[in-house]
Amino acid sequence: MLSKLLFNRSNIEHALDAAWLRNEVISHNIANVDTPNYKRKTVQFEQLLTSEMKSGKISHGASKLTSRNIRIVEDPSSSSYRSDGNNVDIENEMALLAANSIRYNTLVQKINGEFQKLKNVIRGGR
Amino acid sequence: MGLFNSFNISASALSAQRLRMDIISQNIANVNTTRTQDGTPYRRKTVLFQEKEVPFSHYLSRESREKYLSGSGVRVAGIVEDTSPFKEVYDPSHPDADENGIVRMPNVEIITEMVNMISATRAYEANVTALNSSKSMALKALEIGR
Repeated sequence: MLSKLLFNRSNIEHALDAAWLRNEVISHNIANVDTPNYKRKTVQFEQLLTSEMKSGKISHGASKLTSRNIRIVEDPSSSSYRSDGNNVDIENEMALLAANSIRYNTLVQKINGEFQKLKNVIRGGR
Repeated sequence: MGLFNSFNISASALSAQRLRMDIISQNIANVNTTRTQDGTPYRRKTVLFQEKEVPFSHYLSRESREKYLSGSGVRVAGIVEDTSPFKEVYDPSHPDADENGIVRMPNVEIITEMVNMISATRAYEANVTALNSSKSMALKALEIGR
């Protein structure tokens, strides 16, 4: 019972890690908006989480999902539309930044909820 | 994936954009300068940006191989001079005019500089937003377990 609770929380932790890393990567993309031949980077985490959840490994505790599985990949150069070879779209990055920040806040709220549940159980519901 | 890495990334971009702004101001200030130390008219300068590479030591440690690939911002590779030809203006009364009355003026286009200035301002603002976002996330992380 307790281990299940912990497993649930560790998934949120990985998601928090991914969101934090994504914030870094988006900051890096925004920082390099004027760098010639820079290709934007993205963080891949959700696909991995989905495939792990579909395979049912997570609920059995057999998941190999760790924060180190979070991948950073470069966007292909073919999507470049600027003459300087840079493919950072600043509007897109700002939108992703805002979305990621909200996602992070949501996850923090969620993990706080998990802790609150645990506290509630420890207090015996009083 | 250090706590302040994203802060440093945004800060590197802020200082790079500020330097770019300084150079643009320098170009605009010298739009009519016909005398420099080496005797030629003022040459337009541009800032060369380069992605700041992850330090080699991070690649050595296997633990951080994945984590540190997020990069570490932007750096100024150098300030380069624009080698395009000077503008030639006919003005015999100018002290720097040659025997035909032609004055060589700096190769600064004021419109280009203005456009670049707006671009630098917007990029600066974008990075301030990114920095604020990182800050709010870091502060939010302090609320875990409260």
